[in-house]
Amino acid sequence: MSTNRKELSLKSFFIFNSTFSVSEDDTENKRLFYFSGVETPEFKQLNDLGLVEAIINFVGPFVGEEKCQALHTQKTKQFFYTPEKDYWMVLILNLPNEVTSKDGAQVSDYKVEEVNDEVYRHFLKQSYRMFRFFQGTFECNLKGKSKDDQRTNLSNVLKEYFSSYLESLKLPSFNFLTILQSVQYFPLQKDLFLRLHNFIKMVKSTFTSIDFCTYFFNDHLVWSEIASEDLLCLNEYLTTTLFPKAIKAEISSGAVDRNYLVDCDRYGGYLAGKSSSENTIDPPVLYLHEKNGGLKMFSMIVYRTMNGTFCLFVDVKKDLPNDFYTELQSYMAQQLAKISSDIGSFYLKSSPKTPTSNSDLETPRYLFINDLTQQHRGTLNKQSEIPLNISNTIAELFDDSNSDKYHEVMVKSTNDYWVVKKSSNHRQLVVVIHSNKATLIDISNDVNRLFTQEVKNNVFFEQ
Amino acid sequence: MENNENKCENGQKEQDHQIDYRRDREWLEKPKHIFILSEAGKPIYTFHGSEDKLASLFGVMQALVSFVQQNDDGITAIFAEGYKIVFLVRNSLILVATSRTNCSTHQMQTQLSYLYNQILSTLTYSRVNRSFEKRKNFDLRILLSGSERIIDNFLVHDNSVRKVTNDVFSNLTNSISIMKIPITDRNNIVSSIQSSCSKIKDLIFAILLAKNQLISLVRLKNQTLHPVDLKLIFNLIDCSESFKSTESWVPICLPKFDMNGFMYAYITYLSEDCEACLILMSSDCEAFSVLKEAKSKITDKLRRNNCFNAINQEIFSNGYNLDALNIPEMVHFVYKPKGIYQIICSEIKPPYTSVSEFKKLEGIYFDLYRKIHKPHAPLKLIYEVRESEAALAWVTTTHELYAVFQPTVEKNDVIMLVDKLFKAIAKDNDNLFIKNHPYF
Amino acid sequence: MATRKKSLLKVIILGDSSVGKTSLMNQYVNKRFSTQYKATIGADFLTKEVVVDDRVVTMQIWDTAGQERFQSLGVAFYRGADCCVLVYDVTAPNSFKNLDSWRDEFLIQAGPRDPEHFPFVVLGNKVDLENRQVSTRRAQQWAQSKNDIPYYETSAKEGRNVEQAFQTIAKNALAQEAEVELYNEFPDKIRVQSDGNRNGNSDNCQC
Repeated sequence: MSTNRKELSLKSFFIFNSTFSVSEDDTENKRLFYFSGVETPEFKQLNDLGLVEAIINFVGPFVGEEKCQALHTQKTKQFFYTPEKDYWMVLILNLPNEVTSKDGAQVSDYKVEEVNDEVYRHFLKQSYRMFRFFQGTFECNLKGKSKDDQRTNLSNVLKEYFSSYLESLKLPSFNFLTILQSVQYFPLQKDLFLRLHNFIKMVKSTFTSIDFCTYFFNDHLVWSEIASEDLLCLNEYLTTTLFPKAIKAEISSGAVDRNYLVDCDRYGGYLAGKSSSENTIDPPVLYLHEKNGGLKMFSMIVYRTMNGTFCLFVDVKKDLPNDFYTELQSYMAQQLAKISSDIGSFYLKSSPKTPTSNSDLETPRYLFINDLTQQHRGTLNKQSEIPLNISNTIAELFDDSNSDKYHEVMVKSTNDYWVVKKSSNHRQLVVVIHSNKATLIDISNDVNRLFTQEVKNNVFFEQ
Repeated sequence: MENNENKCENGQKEQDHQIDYRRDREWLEKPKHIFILSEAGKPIYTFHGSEDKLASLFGVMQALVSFVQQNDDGITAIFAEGYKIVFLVRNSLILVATSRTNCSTHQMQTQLSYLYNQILSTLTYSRVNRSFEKRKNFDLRILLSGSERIIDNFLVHDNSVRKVTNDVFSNLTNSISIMKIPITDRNNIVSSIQSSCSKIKDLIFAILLAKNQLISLVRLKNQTLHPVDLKLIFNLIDCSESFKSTESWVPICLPKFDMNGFMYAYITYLSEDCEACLILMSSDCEAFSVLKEAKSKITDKLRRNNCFNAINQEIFSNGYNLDALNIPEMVHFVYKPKGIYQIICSEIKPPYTSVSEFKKLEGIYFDLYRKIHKPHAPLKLIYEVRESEAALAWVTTTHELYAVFQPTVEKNDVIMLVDKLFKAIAKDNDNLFIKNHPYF
Repeated sequence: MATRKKSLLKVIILGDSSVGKTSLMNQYVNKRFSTQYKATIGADFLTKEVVVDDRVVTMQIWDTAGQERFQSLGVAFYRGADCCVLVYDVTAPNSFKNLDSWRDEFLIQAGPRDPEHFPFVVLGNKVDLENRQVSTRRAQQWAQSKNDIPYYETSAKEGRNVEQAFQTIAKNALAQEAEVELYNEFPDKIRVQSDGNRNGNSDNCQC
């Protein structure tokens, strides 16, 4: 008897709009984008799409088409999302599978439960938001005179954006953090906070073309003036694309050395802007939400110094003077370096200690989430080595919660992990503790201790 | 064409609602639907509405199943916000359930597989197969006619559509509810039955039940009875008032026992002064008069041994009383010893005595059960506090407990109350559960 | 039989694309009752009640798509059909020629018990058009040669003959059904094993 395991994999990802087809004979016009990583015959693509369309059609009368979310088959899970009217995004995953050969016969066991629906539905949603962040809505990409031109243009934009997005996708790395939909937050001491606040005010009044700013320390958010939905996208872009690049450059240039203040210009610089450095890219154009819910295009200038990242947004319609970038840098470089370094010292003192080794599993790992600001902080993060069943359990606890009402749930898994989630008034706390001896009451006491300590120590809960 | 459409617009509106399910809001908004169809897409059963009027819907369901099958795969479920549709393909039948409740797809599948067994119990596996082998277009409703109400009855009980009863929880846990009877009385009942029936050839099981609770199961030929089969028997008894007024002789297939053959059930209530139902199951279709005779012997013996009193006392009681045990902060519980298919539930008390509140209780248990028994990621314990109640699910090596408390209860007290309950159950164990049966 | 439930007939509509199958359906069954699945999973489904000899009969009509990519679904879709309607366009000779292959395809994939006597109906559609190419005689001959298939000339546009054609469809399908008597067979005797240990299939059952 032998067992052969196949991991979760992407089967296909496609986007369609049924209204683009008018008869039985032009069904291919519905398909705006199709990706499977391998050559897929036309009829197969249309069949994949047809099934999803039929499912949506079938469910429609019962609950409304737009509420349709997923199809499970024995071998796949298929997720649907409709971000704009009539547009559907579909993600099809091959389930992890264990093939056991016994006496010449092969038996497949598809691991349905290992794939958490919530996680992948959020992933699908987020992939749309990222697209919109860079390219605007699907609808606004319908450029051209004829209907065919418009469709082709949208198709091309989708292809360009999503092909590379999907090729670099690493599926099994998603876990409950995907569904949190919040940004890791770092609260400052009052005087530091005021200094940063004043600094930003000064920059904006000196350079009036700047519309908004955000400030991150490491990958923690400290200051933001943009909509929380956009902040999530910005955070993802910074942490997955810009920061890794910057850190690489800093290491090679020796900026990790802490003797910085004497020569701050050398260690500060534009990640996105205009400079002589080869590490600088042109400011990306992003679609941000306005107060009325509409989208508007902004260029984003990114300046980084001493692990602090300052993003400045400028309406694309504004022309910036030629010397804007040099003026800006000479105005703020020193001040920003000083503030960032002071924030750095405070960060070292106050940041929560993340348990580093697995031997330390009994130390509670926790996460506070503020649903109103979509910010979180705590020691439960991507590095936490939590078993898959616990990650999925946490995801499920978030699934059925309505965080404005009081709700507390404590769960003990068969592998002796406790997961506790408390929520009320749009604040949530999640704690994970590994212990085979603790009782309900022990755990409850641990959680309460954490809770009071956290509430006392910072402003997070008062925002 | 256009003219034609306009012409119909007003006059046929009324009719549209009757014919086109997609326009029938009331039908669409039902909390749950069950559809059974043949592999050809011909309707066999619908819980709400008429199969004929839904013919095109049945066609769509068959097409969806076939479409996925052509890729060497099988459709299992569809999810929408607040809505689930589950598919089960068995043999030559397609079963589909839809639900607006929070029961898991696994629970819905279990339910569909129960319905499949229900059909087998009326027709046997071989008869269903032969019918479709001979004609793929066979209309199975011809053979099932009359037994739809047995399916209806199961579905009505399956969740609290209109009644407030603990029966829901035996379905949830796939178990049989056991009537609490002092062990000496229960032994008396068993021996009364045994001594009256021991010499009857082909009599395989004797079952005594009341109020959907099992009093005793006597295995006269040392055969085992699967809980699924027993549940089919329970459902049959429950759905027909006519058993109360007259003795009946009913062929019934027990799919887990033998899915191809019929067993013959002699069904009768004991007497007017003891409304427990006696079922004598024989493999001999000619055994009616022999069993009738046995029944009167059994009745006499039970009466003489004072068993009627013991049974009546429970028939008239409301169930396990938590106040009497001095555990008032616990509002309700369901207890199941590990590894056997028997449960006991406490008396349903306020606020859960109204249908709407009881539905909430049901929702809480459905939720707990789904989470704690999640395949591949089962849990040991769940404790949940909301504004209106605290709820506990706890699975250990020896038992499963689902309980609901008043929202103000302290965690320290919960542990203490549960402990108290376990002690009470342990003390009463012999009276609460039946232990002479290997599987259940 | 009189007390029996109403009958339900599964009717398959076949023919080249653009011979007017969908228009025929729309004419016969109000369009609003059709379900739009033809372009997605290969068939539309319609329900129509008819009265045949004082009996109410429900027709479950499968209007199938002609595209290649749905071909492998034939086995699943035709399975258990009670009647098959072959449609061609009297102005398109090719659609008439293809009737043979549609009929063969149906018989192979559906595998009815008695292929010789399986109820078919042929419809020559679009007779309202002027450029007719297939003569009535030619079509009738073909229908006769295939075991006397009833033949109708229809116009979906004008509604000509559509009702009558479907009436025949229902009637012929019902006639087939009536021939099969209900087999009142003896049930199998139950198997009771001598020792108490039944093979433990109760362990792995999902209940």
